[in-house]
Amino acid sequence: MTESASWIETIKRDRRWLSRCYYGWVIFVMLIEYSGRRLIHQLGEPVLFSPAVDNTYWLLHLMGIPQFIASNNTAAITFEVIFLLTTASCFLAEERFRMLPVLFTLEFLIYLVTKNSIVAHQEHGVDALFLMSFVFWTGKETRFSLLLQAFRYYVHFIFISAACWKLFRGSAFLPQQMSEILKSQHLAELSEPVAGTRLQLIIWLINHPSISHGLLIAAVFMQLSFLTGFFTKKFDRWLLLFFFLFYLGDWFVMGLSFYQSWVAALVFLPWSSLQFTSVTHSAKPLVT
Amino acid sequence: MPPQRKSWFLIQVYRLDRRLFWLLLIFVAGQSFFIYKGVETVPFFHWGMYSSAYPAKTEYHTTGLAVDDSLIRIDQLKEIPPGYLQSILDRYALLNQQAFHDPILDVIHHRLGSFPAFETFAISRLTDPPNSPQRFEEWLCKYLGRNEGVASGTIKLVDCRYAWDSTRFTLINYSVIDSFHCTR
Repeated sequence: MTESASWIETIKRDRRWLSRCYYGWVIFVMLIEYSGRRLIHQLGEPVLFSPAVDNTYWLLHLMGIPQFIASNNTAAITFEVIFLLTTASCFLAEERFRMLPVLFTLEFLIYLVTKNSIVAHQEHGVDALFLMSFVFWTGKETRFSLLLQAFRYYVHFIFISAACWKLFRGSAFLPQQMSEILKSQHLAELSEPVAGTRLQLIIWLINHPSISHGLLIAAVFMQLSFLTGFFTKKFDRWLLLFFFLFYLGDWFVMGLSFYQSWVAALVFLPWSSLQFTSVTHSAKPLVT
Repeated sequence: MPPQRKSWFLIQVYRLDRRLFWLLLIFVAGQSFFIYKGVETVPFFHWGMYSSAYPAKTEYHTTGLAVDDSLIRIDQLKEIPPGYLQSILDRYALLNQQAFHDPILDVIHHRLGSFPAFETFAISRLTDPPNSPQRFEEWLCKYLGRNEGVASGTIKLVDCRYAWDSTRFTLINYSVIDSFHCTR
């Protein structure tokens, strides 16, 4: 086997694993959403729509697609079953039918826009999950490898961007910022007689703004540490740890899990496809 | 062979796949543009959650529901994801307080004012229909009706004012935004 063919085989193997992980995770997310009664058909045909000022939302609303799906339970169930079947088909054979991943992304877009419009809130938990779907659009191994690398940079960008917004807007420097965020985030829970260690810790953080501000600064530094990923892959195992530490902290302190996008952590693993460059593409893969 | 110098990712892409290079460049340009504008257009997401300033306050507001003058604990309604219901109630309260003048109407006019026919069409598709308050009442009653012992009688949408007393939020008072008459 030539060295080039060896690379192709390695990328194909990576792709099989990554697509199984990705589409399998989407199926898992849909089951969790179903058990939490958060699918579109479980929301009882809501009547208020909020497309905000997002151009893509506007486009789909002008076509009447979210309104049709959300205000008709039969349409909502049909759409969600089709979405699930498309995901299952991608899980089983996305590499054999090139249009399947494209269809999946389009259905995902409709699902995302419809759901966020009717709950009047743009949920960011699924955004990275949605963007990762573009990685599987191509049938070419080289392009797949490059798309995966591009997505790896995007995951780093998410954290760095979040830190920069806090720094450039100046909110990271406000001493009461975290304490006030916690009050706003837990208002419902803290308006009832409080029990439980977690809520006691939240109250303690609210009453000690300097400590909670320190926590915010630590979170900003943790987000900024993803900047290293733009220059080297040497620290990716640490970034993998920070990725989950950040989300676990977010879940514990803020009550936000963003669990849908945990699958994006796959980009911190040492896939051969992530090592593929114009310098190395004629050499042997690092992992065989 | 002499060791080759590592080059930037986009240069690698340019060498290996010219079409993908241009697509990525367009994506980067789009993302930069929407960051500059401070808004979001899928797939150019905005990652600035919780980055706006949260000033210290003496009063905290939230939209709630009351039956027979007692507040319903939204987070304990088993049939409804509490976060979703809260957002929907906030949205209705906002529309109600603005006499159902959707704030998006101003944006539509700003963007499409030069095309009156298209503006009318856009308003019909991007804003809620005039009968949405009645339809909202039906939806809310039906949805709450799935929860045992909640849906009968008059349900009030209320603006609750809370104060923080170092151990918990205490209710100062609430004012009624709207009332709904639900029958089983």
